[in-house]
Amino acid sequence: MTNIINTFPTTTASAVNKNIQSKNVAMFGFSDVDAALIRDAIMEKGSVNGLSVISSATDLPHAFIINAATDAGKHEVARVRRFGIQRLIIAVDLPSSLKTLNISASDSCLVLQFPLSHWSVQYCLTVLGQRIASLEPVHPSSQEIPSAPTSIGVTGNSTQSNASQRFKLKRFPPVALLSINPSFIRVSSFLLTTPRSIDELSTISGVRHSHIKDFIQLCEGSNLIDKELINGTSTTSKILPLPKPAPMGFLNKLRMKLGII
Amino acid sequence: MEMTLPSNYLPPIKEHKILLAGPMGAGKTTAIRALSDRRIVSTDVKSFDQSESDKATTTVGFDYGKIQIDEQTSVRLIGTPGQERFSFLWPALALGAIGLIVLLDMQRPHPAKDLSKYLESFATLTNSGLAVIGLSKCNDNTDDATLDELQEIAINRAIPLPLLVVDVRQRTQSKLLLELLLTQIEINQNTLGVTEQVS
Repeated sequence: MTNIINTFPTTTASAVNKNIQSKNVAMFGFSDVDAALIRDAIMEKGSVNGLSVISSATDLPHAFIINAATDAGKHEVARVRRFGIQRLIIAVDLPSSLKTLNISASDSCLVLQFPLSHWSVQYCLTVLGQRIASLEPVHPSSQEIPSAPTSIGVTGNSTQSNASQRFKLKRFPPVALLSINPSFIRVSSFLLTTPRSIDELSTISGVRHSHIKDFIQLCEGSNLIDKELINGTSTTSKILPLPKPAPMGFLNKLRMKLGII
Repeated sequence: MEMTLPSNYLPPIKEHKILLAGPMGAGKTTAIRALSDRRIVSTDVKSFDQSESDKATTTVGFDYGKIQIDEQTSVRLIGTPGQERFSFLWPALALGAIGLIVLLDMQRPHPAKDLSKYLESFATLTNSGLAVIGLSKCNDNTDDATLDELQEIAINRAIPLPLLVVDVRQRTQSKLLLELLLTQIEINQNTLGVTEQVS
């Protein structure tokens, strides 16, 4: 644990260390309020599960470092910007020196917004769990992030039946949730008008399944979404995707100009 | 008589218009300032109208910001004057707009009435789903029941509209609101026949 902490030199004094079963959690550089929020998010599903909620590996002593003051290289998993200056790194290392997270630069960082919210922290932890799971011996060569493990803030059977359900937003998600992942805005807009399954949504919006699942989990946990069972065969084939705008169409040009894409 | 184009002729500039509407003090000028990539043209003057808002200045014409996408394409950001007595300007300003951001001041006494008024006043856009709603100046004292009521109004429409609590002083949140509108335009653009305008 000490080695891991030394990997990310800290400049702030406040630190909270917590041991959950065989897993260590360390948080640095947070206000008491933010630290409490992160603790709550981790512990929300009970101390029995603890961090195993976000990881399918129950026997590996994962060490999580949540550090608000430093940068990190390949260990970096998530990043939070605070007023464009301060950054939070949620990093992970595994006990075996041979197992390190090697995540491409394109999707390694989740940009979150302060003030921290349960949604954003839980989302980070969910992704963290997925990435740890992807390093498990069962998937030794897989770079693909597997489907979400046991959900955080979601009832146990919700994910297993996602394929046969359609979802529709009851109310529009807050900024804190939308800011977690740029594709969440797009998913929200599509789910606002018509109930859609994950497959349908992915087809029509072009957003990856994994992102849609993450979004739905977070919305379910916050009671923002309704779901209905699909009767009979899926209508996926009837859903035509939107015509993709030209690569440099007006909307995309404007998004680029704004730094959104 | 045959006319020839001059050798330095440039194709016509394509300008798109996005409208920001809402009551006085909701943050329209602030949002435009956050989004515009050049100094905005503002018609703010010292406010003597304390009946609608206690802000020091107010917009009496309209605010104008611009996002220059490339040499030929730009987006005009037009902020409507918030006072009721200038509502006669709204239809003219809305003409040709591809989308609308409605900003509400949650410190005002009846935000739900404000919302209904703006949804109705800009029905061409709002009924087509080409609009988003931002709630500004929310704080710990903001009534949950009021937020619920606004959500109900926004979502129980033929084409539901996204509604967000935002702080437009933060550029990221103004951008998020605009990005949300762009997505609404992308999804609903056929409802108003604006495909040609935005393609």
